[in-house]
Amino acid sequence: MNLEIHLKYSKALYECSITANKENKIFEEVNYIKNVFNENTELYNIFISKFITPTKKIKLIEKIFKGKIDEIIVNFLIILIKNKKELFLLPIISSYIDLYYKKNNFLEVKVITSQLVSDEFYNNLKIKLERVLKKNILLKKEINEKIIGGLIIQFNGKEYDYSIKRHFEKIKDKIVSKELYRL
Amino acid sequence: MLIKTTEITEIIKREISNLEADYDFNEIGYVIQANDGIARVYGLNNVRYNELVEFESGVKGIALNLEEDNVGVVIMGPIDKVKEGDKVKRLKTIASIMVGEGLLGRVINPLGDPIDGKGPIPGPLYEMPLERRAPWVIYRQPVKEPLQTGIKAIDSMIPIGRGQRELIIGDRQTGKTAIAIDTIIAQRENYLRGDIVYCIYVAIGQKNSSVAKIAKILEKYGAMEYTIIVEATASDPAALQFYAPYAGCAIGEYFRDTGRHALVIYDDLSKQAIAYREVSLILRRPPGREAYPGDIFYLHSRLLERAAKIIEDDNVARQMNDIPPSIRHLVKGGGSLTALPIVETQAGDVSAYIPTNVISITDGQIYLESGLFNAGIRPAINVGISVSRVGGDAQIKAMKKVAGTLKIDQAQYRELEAFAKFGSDLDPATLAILDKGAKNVELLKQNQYSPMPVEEQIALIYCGTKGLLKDIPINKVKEFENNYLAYLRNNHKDILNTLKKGEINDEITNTLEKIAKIICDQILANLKN
Repeated sequence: MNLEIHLKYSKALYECSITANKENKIFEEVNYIKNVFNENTELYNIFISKFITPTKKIKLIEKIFKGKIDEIIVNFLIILIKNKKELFLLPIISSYIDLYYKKNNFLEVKVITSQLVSDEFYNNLKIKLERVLKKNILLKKEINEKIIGGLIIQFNGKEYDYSIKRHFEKIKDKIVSKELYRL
Repeated sequence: MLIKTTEITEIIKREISNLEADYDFNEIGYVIQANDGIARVYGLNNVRYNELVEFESGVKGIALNLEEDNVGVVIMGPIDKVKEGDKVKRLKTIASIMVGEGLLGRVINPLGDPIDGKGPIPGPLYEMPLERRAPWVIYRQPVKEPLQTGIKAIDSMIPIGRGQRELIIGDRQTGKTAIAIDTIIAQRENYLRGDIVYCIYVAIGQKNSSVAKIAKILEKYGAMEYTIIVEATASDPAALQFYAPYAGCAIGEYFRDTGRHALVIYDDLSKQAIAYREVSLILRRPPGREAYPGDIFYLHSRLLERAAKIIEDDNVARQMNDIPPSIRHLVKGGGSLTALPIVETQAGDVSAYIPTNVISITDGQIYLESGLFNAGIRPAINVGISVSRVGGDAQIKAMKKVAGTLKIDQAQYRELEAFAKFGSDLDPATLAILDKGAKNVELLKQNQYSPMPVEEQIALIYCGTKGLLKDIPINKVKEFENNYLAYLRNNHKDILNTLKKGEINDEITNTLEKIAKIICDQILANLKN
């Protein structure tokens, strides 16, 4: 498997959007496509199927998307079918999104909390992060009861853990080590 | 458990009241694929080669392949607990094992967790890295103290010194493990005397039942008190199997660097090489000869180089390279780590890849042959091609003097023996060599689990090399051995004590000859009656 295929296709898609001067529109619609394929697993299965002929697939894609989304994306999907690279659709989309974020100085930050927090808190956090990281922040909210309290911030393969769960784990380690030492 | 509930409450209370908004900074990645004991991780951009990482479920792994867009991690625990999409955290340390005196008498896995059901490891423990560079030249000294194996054939002809690496090689079922176990049992004498040689037995890819049997035998002979068993069984992940010798070595290094003597047995390195091959192939490293990866030689050489005799001077020893911070304050000179790697050959083929590699790394080899084993010569050591390159310097003087010609005599005997099979008439000189050789072979036979003290070995081998057994028939040699040693133990303790110190003189040899004559006469008289 050539691991770099998705990079080549995503770069081409991004450059097409720039030439057509539709960068933001294409980005939104790529996200839309991503959601469509993620939510409709049957459609995705048809799209990647080896048993359905490319002509049939192209007809289907045209019927569903033509007129509703930009022609660049429809053509992009057709090219994938013609080149038999359907399986790379999702990796291409995610590396396209990465590329778009990079070019526009965006940074996706995942914020994990134990319960729903007010929008004001998220806004404050966003402003602070933007000031510190000097990037346009896109907050991705996640609720995970397992962290008990506090919050965890993740971005760019880094994690800042302010959770209560971590504090409890530290206390547990202290007790266990004390117990072992006494034995 | 001695801890009180009130104490726990106290700790929790204190911790909660001191709770501050501090944070942990982690570098993370995500599992994109997990199969066959290997996980491919996306992210972890700054991870280093051989660094420990932790999966979401608490399972640990080691980063072995750093590629352009992913990291190949070997999983060091239950594979089913690692799922696609799991978070992976950098731990910023290299894989290590907690070592201390509390490990003695225990059976542990390569991660240091006890697996003998006797509860947690007691006492203070020190962190020792699994991978560590071997001591540099200035921190070493030549091998000079003997490591008595209690096996006559080895101590007399292929002597092993403390700090040496001696390979035990042979086909399956030739008694390789038996030699290792006997060597551990023989260290009991040192243990009782206070000059302890700590033993570490590393079982790689063996059956659980075999390891249980070995542990039971060691316990029976009182050897578990100074022995640690590191076990990675055939059913453990391949990564654990190939790290097991490194864990054993790390334990040995703890004793070595704190000025004590240790013996580590790797049983066996061919299975470790197979485990490493498995991991390497799954990691898509290019296969080489016999499908082993290119660095298989380095795998074994960097392991065996760590066996060493450390310089006596404490001040120099304290400056040794790569001492783990945890034991920095305990470092002393004069320690040693002896390694006895075991390699299994297929149909006696010593020119296969792994045997030739390990032969070239070690300071000699003990070659066991199934032919000899089946002929009843046990231990089935082929004296002709077994060598010890440095052990000779470590032999005690008396043994060196007595057994000096034994190896050559036996080689000559083997050569003539082939001739003698043609049945032609032989001159008396040749017949004498043949007779002496056959008697010596008989004399060097030894039962399992019965190590012999060095002084008794010297007294016995003296009779063999001097040809004092020429009058008694070959089937009476065993009887001679028993009677002779019993006589010495009962009537000449002083001689044995002197021999033990390594001293030998004409007076002693005269007495030994006299005693041998008395015993021979007795046996001959019994035969006539």
